[in-house]
Amino acid sequence: MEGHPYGYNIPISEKTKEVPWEEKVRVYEEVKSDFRFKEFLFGCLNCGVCTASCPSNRFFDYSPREIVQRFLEEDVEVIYDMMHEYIWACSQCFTCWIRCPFVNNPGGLVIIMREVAVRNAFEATKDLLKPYGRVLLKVMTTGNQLSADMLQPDFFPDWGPKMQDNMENIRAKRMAIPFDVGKSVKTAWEVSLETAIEMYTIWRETGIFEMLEKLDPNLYNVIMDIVEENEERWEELMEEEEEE
Amino acid sequence: MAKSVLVVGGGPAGLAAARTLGKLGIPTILVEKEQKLGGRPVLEDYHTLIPRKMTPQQVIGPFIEEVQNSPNVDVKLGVELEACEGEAPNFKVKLSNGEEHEVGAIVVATGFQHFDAKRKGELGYGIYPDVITNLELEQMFSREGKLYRPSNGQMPKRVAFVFCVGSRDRQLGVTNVHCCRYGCALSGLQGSEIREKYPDVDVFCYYMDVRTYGTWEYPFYWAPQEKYGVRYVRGRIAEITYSPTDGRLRVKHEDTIVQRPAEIPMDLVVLVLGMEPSEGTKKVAKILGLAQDPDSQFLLPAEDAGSNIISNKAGVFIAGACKGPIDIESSLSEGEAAGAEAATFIGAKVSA
Repeated sequence: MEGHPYGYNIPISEKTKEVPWEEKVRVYEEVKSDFRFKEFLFGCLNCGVCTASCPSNRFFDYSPREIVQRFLEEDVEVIYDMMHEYIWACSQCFTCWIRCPFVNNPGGLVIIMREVAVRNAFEATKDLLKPYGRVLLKVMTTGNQLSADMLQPDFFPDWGPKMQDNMENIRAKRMAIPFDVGKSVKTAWEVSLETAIEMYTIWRETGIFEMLEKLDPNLYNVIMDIVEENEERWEELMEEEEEE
Repeated sequence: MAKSVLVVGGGPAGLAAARTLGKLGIPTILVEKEQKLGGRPVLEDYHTLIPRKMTPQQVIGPFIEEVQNSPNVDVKLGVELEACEGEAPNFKVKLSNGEEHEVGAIVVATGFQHFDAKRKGELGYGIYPDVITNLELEQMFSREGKLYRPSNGQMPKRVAFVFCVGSRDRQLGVTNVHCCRYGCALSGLQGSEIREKYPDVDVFCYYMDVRTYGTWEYPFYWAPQEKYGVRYVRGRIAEITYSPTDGRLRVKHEDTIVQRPAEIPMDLVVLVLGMEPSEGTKKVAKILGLAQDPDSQFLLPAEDAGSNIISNKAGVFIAGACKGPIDIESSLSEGEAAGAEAATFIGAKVSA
């Protein structure tokens, strides 16, 4: 029989099967060695509260209970296979975590698995990130990709019928908010040079740039052009300040 | 040396202790903070007690009667222990009515309180009238003698029992991580009672595991299923909501055996409440310097004692639900044992 006798009913992919066992163990150990791992995984009674509360479970073949169980069973092959598609259905709402009677954090385990998948430049992560090129570009260069005026009610039918009414005269309503909440694309994407430089430092020190280079070299080049330009401007500014 | 014994608490364990002491001819003071003896089962009108399927009157009634009629037991209602000085066997105790007494030993039987179901907001207790507690179901049986939906007074078609509410739950912090011990069995009994009286009502029990331990397995697990047709579904209820379209509740869970998420319509949902130490238990622990479990705050037996009624303080004996969840017949046994231990502790000579 293909797949597993229970639970994770997706057949283990041919790609996963071809990967040497030692490589799967290496990836599994990388996940387990994350410092957060032991804060995210405790005992499990299979009560199903996490999966019953999981919004992704309603629409996708994804169950947080399955994540916890596979780790407790040390099912190295299934965990490796999950990292290629299964875990990307998690919406990271952490309802599983705030409901679990034994305070397991399946969503947290997914974070670690995703990070390991990205660090290892899994082919699947490249495919998954492709549609998010523009988002990544904005997030990594300005720190923000979303502004209020980008939200249109037609995009989100799940917001319900009231949303159309709320959207009426939305510009005026937003302008009435007495502080800057990133009301438009223009203001939301404006970032001071100092803040940008701090952010780039974080990306660099935490290995985010490296990760991106492996995942999407083209996007990496575009982003680095902007980063380097800003960094040059910053250095010039600093030199000017010193001279004064 | 003082030759009398103080019993704190007039529930099953305290009554049993006072009755044994009285029968042994030992002067005994029984203090009960309520105006009535009998403890939770009597004060709150439980309907049928597990495991003997008798009423509180049948089980606890004779104990109350014997204690009240005993020439050796001085029952003080509406009275609490306020302070205690000295060591065994010469305790000087002060009561809330201003009296002071010298006693040689103390039996603590201060009991438990029910979990407050409002703390589990996602279960909708206090929001939806048709979400009730298992205590309220008992009272529906005992006070009104009928089953109905509080929202409209009508007979429910489908009833769900939600196990482990306020038990085995780390989301509530460290205080409610223990098992309530009685819930599985009582739900089996309540479900059977419903099915027996109203065969058209479907009853569902939602469980993580069914802990009808020991000899309770047949009468409270298999009999409900096989004899009365109570249905057991494996999955803890994650959330209870209300659907205005049909006026019914929805219980949300994952059926973890067939592995599917489900939202099932229900007319009445019964939350199976966990047990916590009563306020009286916490108060007496402080007054007498008794060891408490750091998580649940229930009283702990002495570390070096094999028997669980021996406290960490010489001359103080602990019995019943003040030490953790317990059923009523075991509470009575522990009370009897604590009474006998207190009698031997003060060196009472029992006449032949």
